[in-house]
Amino acid sequence: MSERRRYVCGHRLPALEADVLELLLAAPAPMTVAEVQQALPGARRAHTTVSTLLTRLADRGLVTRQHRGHIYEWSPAGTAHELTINALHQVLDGVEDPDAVVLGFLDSLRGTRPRRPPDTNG
Amino acid sequence: MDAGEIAILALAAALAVLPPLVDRWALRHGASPQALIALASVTLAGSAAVPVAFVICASGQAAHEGATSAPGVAAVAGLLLVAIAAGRTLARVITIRRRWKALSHIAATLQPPAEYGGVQILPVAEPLAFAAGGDAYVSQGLLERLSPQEQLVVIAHEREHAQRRHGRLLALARALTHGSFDLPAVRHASTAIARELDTLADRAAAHRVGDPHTIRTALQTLAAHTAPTPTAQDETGLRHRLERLDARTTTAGRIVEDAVRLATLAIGAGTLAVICLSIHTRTIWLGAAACALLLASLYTFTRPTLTRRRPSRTTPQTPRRIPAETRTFAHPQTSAVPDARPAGLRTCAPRSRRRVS
Repeated sequence: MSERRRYVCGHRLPALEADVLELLLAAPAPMTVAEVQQALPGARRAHTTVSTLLTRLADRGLVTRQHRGHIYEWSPAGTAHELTINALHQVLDGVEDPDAVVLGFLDSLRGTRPRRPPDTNG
Repeated sequence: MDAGEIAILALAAALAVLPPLVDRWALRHGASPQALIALASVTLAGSAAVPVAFVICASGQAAHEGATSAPGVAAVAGLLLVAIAAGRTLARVITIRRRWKALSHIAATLQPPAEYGGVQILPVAEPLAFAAGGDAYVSQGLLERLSPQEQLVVIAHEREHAQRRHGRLLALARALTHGSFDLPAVRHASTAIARELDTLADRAAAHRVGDPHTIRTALQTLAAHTAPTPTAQDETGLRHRLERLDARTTTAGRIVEDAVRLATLAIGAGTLAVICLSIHTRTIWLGAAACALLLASLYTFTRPTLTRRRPSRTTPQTPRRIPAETRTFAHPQTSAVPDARPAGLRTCAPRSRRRVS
C-alpha cells in the first residue's frame, strides 16, 4: 500500500483518498460505498476502509452524501473545476499570512485580500 | 573565556548592529540592490552560523569538564535551542514549497485559456499578481483593472521574480526569520531582501517596457483598488519605490557601493573566522568543511539573483518583448464572473477517466 500523497484538483491527498475522489469525479452518478468498493482499482478494500476514506474526504469538504433508501450515496462536492477553484482559494488565503513567500507586485503597498467564507466555491 | 567565545560574541554584536545601520545608510545614498542583497544574505548566513559555532565551542569544553559543569549546561541548552530553531526553519521551508507545488498543480489543472506572456492566469476576481517559486501568477481581476501597457509592466515584474528564482532566496530568508523567533537582525535582513528583490524586478520591468512611468500608473491604479484611502505610510512607500527605479551612478554612489561591499566582506570574513576558531580545537579540516558548506550554500542561493543576465539563449521560449497581438487581454466569456465556467468541465482526474473507459 503506497501512502504517497498526490494532488487531485489542487488538493493534496493520500493515495487512496485520491483514488476514491477521482473515481467519484469520473462517475456519472452518485455511488454507494459498495459501488466504490467494486470500482476501486487494485486489491479489494474492506467495506469499512472505503467508508472511512469517504468520511475523511467529507471532512475535507470534497464529497457530500445523500440518503438513498436507508444507505448513503456519495458524490463529489462540486465539479472538478469548482474543487480546484476551492483549493486555489485555500492556498491564496494561506498566502496572505505575515510571512507568505510570495513576491507580489504590490508587496510594499500592502494590498490585502479579503477573506472568503470557506465554502463559497463559484 | 577563550578566543573562540570572544570572537563569537563580537560577531553576534556586529551582526545585530552593523547590517541594519549600513543598510539604512546605503538606501538613503542609493546603493545598488545587488550589493544590499549580498549584505543581507551574508548577514543571514552569519546569524545562522553564530549559534552553531557557540554550541560547538561550548560542547568542546563540556567534553573536558563533564555534563554538570557550566559549559555542559550551556552546551545542552544551546543544542536544544539550535535544534528547535532548525526544526522551525525546516518546517517553514516545507510549508512554503508545498504551497508553491499546490499552486502549480492548480494552474496545471485549470488549464488557463492561454499562456499570457509567460504568466499563469488565475480565475480570481481580486487583483493579485505574484511569483511563487518558478512560476508567475496574475489574477483575472487584475488584468481587468489595468490598461494593456500596465499589464505588461506587472507581468514583466512577476516574470523577473520567477525567472531569476527570487522566491528561493526569499523563502530561505523568511524561513530563517520564522525559525529564529523573529530576531530583529534576521527580520531586518529578510525585509531588506524582499525590498531589494522588488527593486530589481521593478527595474527589469521598466527596462523591458521602456517606460518607467508605466510602473507608477500601474502601482497607483492597483493601490487605489486595494486601499481606497491610502495612508501616509503607503504614500511614502510608493514614493521610495519609484525613486529607486533608476540606477544612479554618481561618484558618491560608487563610494556607498564600495562601503556596502566592504561591510559584506567584513561580516563574511568574521563569520568564517568564527567557524574556524570554534572548531579548531578538534580538527582544522572540520572548520574548513563547514566554511566550504556555508560558502557553497550562499552561492547557490544568491547566484540566480545576483549574476548578470545572460543573453536570452537560456530562455528561448520567452521573448523579451511580448508580441503585440497578445497585448490586449480579451477573454469575454469569463470577464464578468471569473469563477464561472461551463459546469461539469472535468479538467482533472485524467488518470481515472482512462481507467474507467
